[in-house]
Amino acid sequence: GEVKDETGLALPGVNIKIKGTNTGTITNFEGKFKLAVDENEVVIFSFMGFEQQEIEVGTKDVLNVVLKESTELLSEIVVVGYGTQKKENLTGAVGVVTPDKDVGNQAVTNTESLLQGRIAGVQLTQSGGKPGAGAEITIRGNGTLNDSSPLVLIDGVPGSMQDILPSDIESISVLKDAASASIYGTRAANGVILVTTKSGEATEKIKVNYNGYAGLQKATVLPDFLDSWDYMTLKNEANMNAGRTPIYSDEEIAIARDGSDPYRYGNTDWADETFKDGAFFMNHQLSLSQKVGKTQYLASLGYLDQRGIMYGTSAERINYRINLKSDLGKGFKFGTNFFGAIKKSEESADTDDQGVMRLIANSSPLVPVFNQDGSWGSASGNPYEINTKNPVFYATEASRQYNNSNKMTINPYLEFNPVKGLTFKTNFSYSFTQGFNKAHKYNFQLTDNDGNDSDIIRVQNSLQDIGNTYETIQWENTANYNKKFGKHNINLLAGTTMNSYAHKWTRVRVTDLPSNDLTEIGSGTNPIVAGTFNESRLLSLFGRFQYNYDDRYLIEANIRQDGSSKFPQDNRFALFPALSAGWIFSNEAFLSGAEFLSFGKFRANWGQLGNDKIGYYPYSQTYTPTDGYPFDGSTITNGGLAVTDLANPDIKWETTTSYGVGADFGFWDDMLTVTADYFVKDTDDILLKLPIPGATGVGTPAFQNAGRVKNTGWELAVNHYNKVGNSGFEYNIGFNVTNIKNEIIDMQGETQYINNRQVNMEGQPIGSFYGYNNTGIYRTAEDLEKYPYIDGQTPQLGDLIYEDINGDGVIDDQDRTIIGNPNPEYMYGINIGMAYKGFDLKLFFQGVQNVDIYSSATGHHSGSGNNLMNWTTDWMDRWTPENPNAEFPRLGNVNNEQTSSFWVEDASYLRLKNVELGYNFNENVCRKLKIQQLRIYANSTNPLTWSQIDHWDPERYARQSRNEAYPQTTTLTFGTNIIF
Amino acid sequence: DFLDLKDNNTLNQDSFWKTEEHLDLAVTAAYESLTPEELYGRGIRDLDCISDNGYNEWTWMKYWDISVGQHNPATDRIQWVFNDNYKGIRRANEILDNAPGMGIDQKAKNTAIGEALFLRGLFYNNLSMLFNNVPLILKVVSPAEARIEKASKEEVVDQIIQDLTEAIELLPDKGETVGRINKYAALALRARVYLYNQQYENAIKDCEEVINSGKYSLLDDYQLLFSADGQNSAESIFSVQFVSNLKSGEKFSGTYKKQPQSHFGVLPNLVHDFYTKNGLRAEDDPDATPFTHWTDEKGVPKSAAELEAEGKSIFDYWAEFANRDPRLDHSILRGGEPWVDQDKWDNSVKATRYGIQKYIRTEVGQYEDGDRNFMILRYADVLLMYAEAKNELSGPSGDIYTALNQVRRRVGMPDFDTNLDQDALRQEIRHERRVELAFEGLRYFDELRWRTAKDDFENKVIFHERTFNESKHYWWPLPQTEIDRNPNLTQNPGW
Repeated sequence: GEVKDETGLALPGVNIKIKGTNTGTITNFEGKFKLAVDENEVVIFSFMGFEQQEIEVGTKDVLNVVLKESTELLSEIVVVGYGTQKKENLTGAVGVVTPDKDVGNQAVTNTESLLQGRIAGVQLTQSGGKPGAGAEITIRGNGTLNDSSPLVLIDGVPGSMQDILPSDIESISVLKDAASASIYGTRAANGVILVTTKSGEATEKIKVNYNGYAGLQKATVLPDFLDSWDYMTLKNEANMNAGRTPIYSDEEIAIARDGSDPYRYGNTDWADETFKDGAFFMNHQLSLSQKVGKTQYLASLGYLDQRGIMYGTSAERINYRINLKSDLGKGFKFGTNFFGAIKKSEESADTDDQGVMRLIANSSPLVPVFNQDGSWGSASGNPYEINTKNPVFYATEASRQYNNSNKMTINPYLEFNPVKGLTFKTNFSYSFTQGFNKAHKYNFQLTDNDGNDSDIIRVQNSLQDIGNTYETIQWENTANYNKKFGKHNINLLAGTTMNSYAHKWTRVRVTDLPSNDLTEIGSGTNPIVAGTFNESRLLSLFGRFQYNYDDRYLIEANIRQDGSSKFPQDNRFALFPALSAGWIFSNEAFLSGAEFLSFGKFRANWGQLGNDKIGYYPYSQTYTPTDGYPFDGSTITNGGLAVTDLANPDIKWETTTSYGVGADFGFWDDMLTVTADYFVKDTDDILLKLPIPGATGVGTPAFQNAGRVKNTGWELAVNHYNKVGNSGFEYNIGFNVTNIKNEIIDMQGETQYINNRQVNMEGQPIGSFYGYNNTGIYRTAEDLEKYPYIDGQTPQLGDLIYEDINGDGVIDDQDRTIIGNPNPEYMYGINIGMAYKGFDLKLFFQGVQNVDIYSSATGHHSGSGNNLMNWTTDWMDRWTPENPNAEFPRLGNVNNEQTSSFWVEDASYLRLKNVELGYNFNENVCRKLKIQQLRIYANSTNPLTWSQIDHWDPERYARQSRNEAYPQTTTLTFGTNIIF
Repeated sequence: DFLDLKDNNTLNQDSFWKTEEHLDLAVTAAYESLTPEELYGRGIRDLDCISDNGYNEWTWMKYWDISVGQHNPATDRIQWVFNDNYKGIRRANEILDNAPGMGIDQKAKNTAIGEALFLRGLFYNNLSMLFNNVPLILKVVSPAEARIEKASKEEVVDQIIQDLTEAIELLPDKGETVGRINKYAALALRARVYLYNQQYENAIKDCEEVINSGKYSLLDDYQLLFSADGQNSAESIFSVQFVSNLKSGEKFSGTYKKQPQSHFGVLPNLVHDFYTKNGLRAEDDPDATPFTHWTDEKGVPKSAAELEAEGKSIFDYWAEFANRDPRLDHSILRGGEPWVDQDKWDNSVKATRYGIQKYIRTEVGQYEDGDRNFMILRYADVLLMYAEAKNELSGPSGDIYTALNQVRRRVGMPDFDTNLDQDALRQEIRHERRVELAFEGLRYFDELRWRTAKDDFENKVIFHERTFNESKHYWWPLPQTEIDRNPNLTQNPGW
């Protein structure tokens, strides 16, 4: 017979098997096959990416089979911890992203961002559009006051998603609950992300896949600052309101306004000058894949070149990979994955005080970018202009920082199938990363337009080298046994892991290099050196029991015992159990008549997980080097050693107990699928530094297992897929939404002040904003009488009114309260796709709802005016006697800058995260060009955002409590995908 | 075992305390605990600005609150001082717990133990003077073990005496280098503790031993004593050593915006308290004019213009300074005096128009950490302690005058009047301590132990109002944080 696809193309390499036997063959290069069969036998045709077909032979001599391409098949097998599982048989909460299918050609410069909005329960926040920047991922809410990043495993090897090319990824599984993640024990409390890479093609014809795009980026939004003449007016007003004299004369303001002296009274928009519109970037990915003899290989290479949207920033990345898999015969299979990433990026080294982002707001618009003679602009004159550190200069030529890293992983494994259903696997991996960071701060002297030295000077240049090496070695052995007895299906897994991780850090800093052109440490003087080496090891046993009765009743139990070098000897071993069960009620006889219901399952799970991010040797009382003492009164000959941080000899891991219920439904042949989950994630023994008596004589208390945080929430995902008759039009719509309530249950009565705006407090979400509750602005004399004010101060019209929470008639520290929550209540994603006659359109929306940011201190301030900051244009609507109904308070009173709810803003947003329009040339064209597939597309990320935040991107880290987040980027790219 | 890892970055409880070098490192850390800003890096000197010598112009530093009696258990400065003394005590206790069991040279061990005992005594003396009753922690403690009730002042003092007595036995006559604690430093400190606690006979004996050792003498030049060149002189019995441009620099000698210690205001009543060259109060000296002639009722000198309007001259006022005990000029900066890069110091920036000059560096732009050593014990103090103790014990005698006159003659001031009765001599000795030791962190303790604080602070500080409530202001409250974290601790009386 012959096997073809729906378009009539022959399919080589299709597996053909006689049902119930091991007899079979595969189709040859023309899709043809020969197989000896009996009349009553059934032949199974299976091929990756196609729906499996069974055909009764009957009396036919020739079987001509057309295999239907399947978009669903790939997702039906889900990668889980140490194995795979049919999606319908899952009892835990696992979210899957298949980049090729779900994401398209979204221009992701950081592979992690593939996950944003795609999976219910997974929150990803990008740190902004800086080249090479990362992102923060929290799974089902932040469950600890410490590091809450999930464990990422790439083909079982600990790593980072930033190290791999999106196009190399077969699938990403996110293990969200204890039932699915507890097999990873003490590292799993924050969730586990399993990345599976593609393996080589099963055909002998080489497949060459090239995908490349290039495009432009710009900032999603930049703050709109006041023009210089308005800035001057407001500065004067603030100073006068604060009882000082005005700074600028009316004549000066007029000069600025008419632009007659642009080098002394300019009007520089520092945000616009520091960021460029249309920063170029390009991305190329090439892969080769083939089967040679009994060996399948995939080789890929990727190159990314990204110019930053801020002047002076750029990044380059090269990714490479070779995946080999070989059938050694006699049940043995051998494979190796070898992959790596080389990353380089460049930026300003002046990152102190949030670096250039803060400078943009803290610069006077009167100062020009360049003086008339072309030198960098700087000013002398009044104190505000004098201290303007030209942000464009600081971004580009005041300093340079180079970040290089080189990571490579080799991961050989051997599989052995002695009998059907039993698999032994041993998997070794070695991963090495070398990071190198060079920060070079130049010495310089800027001058004003008249050539006089200004105050913008760096007397001493410096050069700092930081070297990091990381080494991870892991050896895992698993045994897996699958067996079916009638309607009973069992699966057993047992395994061990040995893991060791080491990190070496060295830093050398020198100053006074004879020239700014010198780039190496040896040319400087006064070296200061530092270095550390830390190591951790893990030794684990784990097992799993799965039982499935008739595809109706599912039970799964997991257990893992972790021994960790991070735990003190008496506390060294931790046990993490999990139990889950499922009931596929749609397979029950009583529902066999319900045709609209194609699938239905209820799930319930309970389990425990650990978090071992507690430091390397937290139980060991170390004596830390101190500054030393000059015994002879002239030099310090040696430092001292003393206990500066207490250790806790009884420390242990943080334990998360997670439980939940869920349901999966498929309607009308899975045209509509619905998944819903309710979950509780209760983390106990959270490490806290509880205050200790001063009489102990040590400043820093030890971590103790003392806190508790609870996340409760629900998730809902709905997907609909349809082909409209025979029109050739098909579409899909997907929607996922997550609700999470985060609460600190116990902190032993203590309150942690994270910064002067955010606290961790019992009964409140992590990182809550804390300050006065603002109830309005004093607008009438009556208001001044009526509302109490800050102790010792007298309010004036235009000042902010603060609520007297305790009713004692004065506003003081006792009146502070929770004024905002930086954790979003809802997160959601919407996926829309449609295809018609070669054209396809993908739209992806992502959003968060009910989340607060604190929007002050940069561009928003009402203080006395004796600082550098410019204001956003919003401040044209500030309170003045002429504008008594203003939105913003009067200038000149620092008390209006007290942390208060006035500055808390709702940062909910909905954004069109990605849109792609593509065209696939039809096969006639392809055939003429002798290629398999040709696709061209246009793609844009972040083209549209709906948000109440005007001047800054609403997407920022929860802990970022100032308006200094680097803006996200909007991109427009064009690309092509060619497969030979 | 695969899971047993060693932290090789620094030593830990298992690997430390093995060699003499280890002990040196621990001793270094113990000495270093003298240097924080709250202690000898600045704070102890700044105790003078809660006495009647000065006041705290930067109110956020909270010395102001304490000086005017507005402090409370939550005043953070009080917590910082409390904690930093206990940090020093812990570092001493580390040595005292671990050194005895080390298998190293006995002499090195003895010296280290002696130094640790001295330091523990010094820190407890600070605590007992400031708080009266504090928890007596005599070994390395865990946070749980630190939650104990406070000890009485007597218990604390007895312990200090016991520590210092042991230290005297163990310490060498001369330390390895100039900055190290020796036997005489311990004797002088024990003399101070005896004197502070009215055990005059013992104080006399210790002072005599220091004086008779012949190892110490007064430096001829009083001004030199507080400069870089006069450091670690024969007068210094124990000084905290500082070097600049490292974290271990001090903060008491610097200038900020070319003002000497901007936060520190010198009170006019101290200025007025210096005798004339004839050894008399200006009011009693026909050759002198009291400074009040040129000041307002708060003691603040009037400006040149104001004086001119009254028919007076600022130059006369400036000239009058030459008519005073030279220690006035060495200790205090007045308007019109050359200062840093100013020919005539513009005193209008200071509310009282005076600046602190003792110990202050005059190099231009010295904002950062300084390198002046801080003298905790100097020979002049021993002489004055001896005179005070002897007068208290047995009234005026020749050896008292011998001691006192050495201090006077060094600065060219006339000898003491030998016709004083015990009470009159007591007043003169106290006056001498004030002018000799101004801004050396001793005045506040003196006011407390003499029980003269109420009258001196409330009535003699003319520049501003102060309240001193005798039922609670002779001691500080225990920090509220400490009360919160130690359920066994009861607050001091009155707080």
